[in-house]
Amino acid sequence: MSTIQNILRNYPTPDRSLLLPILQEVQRSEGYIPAEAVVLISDYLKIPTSKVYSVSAFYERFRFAPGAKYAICLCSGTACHMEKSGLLIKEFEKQLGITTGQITRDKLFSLNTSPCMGACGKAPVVRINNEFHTGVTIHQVAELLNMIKNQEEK
Amino acid sequence: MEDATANTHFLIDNLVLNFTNEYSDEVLRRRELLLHDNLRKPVIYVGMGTCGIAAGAEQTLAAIKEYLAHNRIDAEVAEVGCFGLCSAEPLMDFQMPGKARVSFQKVYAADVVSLLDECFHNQLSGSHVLGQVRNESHEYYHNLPIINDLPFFKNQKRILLYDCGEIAPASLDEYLARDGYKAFMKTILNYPPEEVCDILARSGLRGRGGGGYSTGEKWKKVRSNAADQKYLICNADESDPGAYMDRTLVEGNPHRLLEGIAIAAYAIGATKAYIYIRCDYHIAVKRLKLALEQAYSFGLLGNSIGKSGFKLQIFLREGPGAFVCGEETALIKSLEGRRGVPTNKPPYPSEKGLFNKPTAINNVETLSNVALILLHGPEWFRQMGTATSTGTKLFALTGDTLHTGVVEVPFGTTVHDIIYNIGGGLKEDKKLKAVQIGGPSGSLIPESQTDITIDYQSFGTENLIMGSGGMVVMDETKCIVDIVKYFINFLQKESCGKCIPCREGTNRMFKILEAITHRPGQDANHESLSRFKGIMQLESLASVIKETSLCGLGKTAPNPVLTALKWFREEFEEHIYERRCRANVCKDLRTFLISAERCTGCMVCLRKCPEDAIVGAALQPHFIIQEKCNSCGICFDVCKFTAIDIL
Repeated sequence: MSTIQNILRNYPTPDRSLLLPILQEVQRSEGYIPAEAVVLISDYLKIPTSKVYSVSAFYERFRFAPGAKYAICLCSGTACHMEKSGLLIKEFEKQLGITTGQITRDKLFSLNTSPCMGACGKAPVVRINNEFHTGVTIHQVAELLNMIKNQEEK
Repeated sequence: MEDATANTHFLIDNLVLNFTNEYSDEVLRRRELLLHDNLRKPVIYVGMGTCGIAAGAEQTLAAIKEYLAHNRIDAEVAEVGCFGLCSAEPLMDFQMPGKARVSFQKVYAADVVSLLDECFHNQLSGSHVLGQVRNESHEYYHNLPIINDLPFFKNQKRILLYDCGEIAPASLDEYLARDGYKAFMKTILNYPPEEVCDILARSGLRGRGGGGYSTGEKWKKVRSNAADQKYLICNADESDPGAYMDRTLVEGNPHRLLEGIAIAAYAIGATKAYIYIRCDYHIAVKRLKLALEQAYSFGLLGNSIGKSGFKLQIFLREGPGAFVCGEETALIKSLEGRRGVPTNKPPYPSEKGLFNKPTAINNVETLSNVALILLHGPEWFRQMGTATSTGTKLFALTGDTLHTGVVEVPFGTTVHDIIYNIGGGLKEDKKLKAVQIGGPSGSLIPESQTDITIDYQSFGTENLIMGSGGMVVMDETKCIVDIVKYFINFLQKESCGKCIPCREGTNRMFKILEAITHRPGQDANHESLSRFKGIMQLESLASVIKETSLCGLGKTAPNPVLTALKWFREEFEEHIYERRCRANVCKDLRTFLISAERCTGCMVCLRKCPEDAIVGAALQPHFIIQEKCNSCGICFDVCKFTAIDIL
């Protein structure tokens, strides 16, 4: 847990307004907000643990469990919606056997939607970790997933 | 490195702090170099905005660097922002010393070698060419169009976007060469803060985040409230689906925003400013961080700026994903480290804002205008736009137009002009059905109303909401009910849950719209009842939500429903009474039939049907059992003989 104490050391004056930046830094280094971190932060900032949890649960980007190796993120912006991103999500859900917001059992894939990514000219857009795929059709979904699975097997 | 720092200091001393507009030859020479008017070696520009990167600009950039290394060519590679034409990404510009700068569109990694061969051998074939940039001091290529004359650019008035795509966002020097920070220095050395508020009020600048409140007046209010500490907040939590003007501005030229913030902070008497930016804007955050570092290290921010005694610290805070935090009171709560839920107004933030101190909150686009107004004067700004709405407005033009991207037009332009003159009309010459302006809580405008001019007055009389500037164009293949359902779904998910009308009301509206677009399943939830009550219930719900919600999110949430009902009522009725979606978008309402004449009995659809709803023997026409069919459309997709009709 020393990493979290190290992070706290970067904030010499404990103040509630630092809660979100601290949580963000914890998530950046750990990939999620561990339960121990919530306790340590609440001790440090002198706010009840329940409040720390309540604040972090309010915001969509905080996670309380480790993420998947490949985070699949579909743009849910208006342009993508009009280009049938809804059907695309269904296809991903079918192929992966999970629903949006979940992680596959082998911790390889997670499926999420994100607000507009701003590549509306090339809708629908799928982001896998930091790589963008534009103009994705339903038929390409299996292809994309197989490509990653093959890479993993190697 | 030392040389570079010395150069920046030289520019600050001789360019920024020189208000006479008479420069020595040395200053002019360095300035020309930075403006890329006078080059020493070839420059290749790559558009590295989010839209460019999504389209593959990183791969293009890598290929360019590899090409230069492989052929041992000494050229500069400049990473610039997006200049707004997102549908043409990835964009690459090429400029030889003394010659005009040429823009190439859709340059993927595989195109780089052949294209750069053409460029360096001066044998442009014209493929991928978008046009050459107008600059009278350069020699033009014959037979290439001038980019500034293309309808997409010619019909815009690009003040804020002027630098985007031209300037390297990571370079402070380039911004200084374009009179950067000059307005700020001039302001803090020459004008008292009251006068700055006054200049802004005279310019007529109004908040671009959606409210449309006069910026100068807002600042005056904060100024007049006495307190030991005041704050300025820049709201960059742009989360509307289909709107990305602020991101384009920050990515394209972060220093322009910082300068605007600095001037605003000086005007209201704040020594601390916060930028609250959406955390998903990774590139914008990265560039802002770098710009802040640069500004601090050269004394443009920090303690005692330019020996004036004015102090300013700017903090960057990333908003961890909550749409409601775009609302100013919720944003303040979030900055204080609390759940981002709005509070009652009054007290307004100008009296009790961040940490209960007077606070001014301005949007990115508003603040980006500030430096320009002080540089060119309020009269210059008033020349653009209409009498009551001065200046320009950015729109993110997306959807079914030929060109999509971020456009900037003076107020007073019609929606029709933007779609047809700038956007190039609709793809495949389809018919325009509707335009959605102002994001999820904005308004739907039918084709017949697109001659409305864009300004606060005419939008006010029509009861429309300008919002922050999303503009989604829909052709006739789009279903209005589906779009409305999409927006309401977005809003019900993003409702913070504090007040009941918004939390429950938007959810009920979504349930009604879902019932309208579904086939009748089991009737356990009284679905058919809510179907038929649908329109009436939607209308009464909408008015309750509108009147009783706490914050702007709830108050404007029913807008898409109300405007859609106003203009497209018959489409709702079709969905309800005829169970028919004329655009064939509402999947569950489609009925599939197999034509007995065309079906060859190949059995492909029969095997693929997930519900086993298709019956038939080999080489005999098949039949769909409608009770079993779930309208997935797989049979339609797999049929090689187009034997399946959609009703």
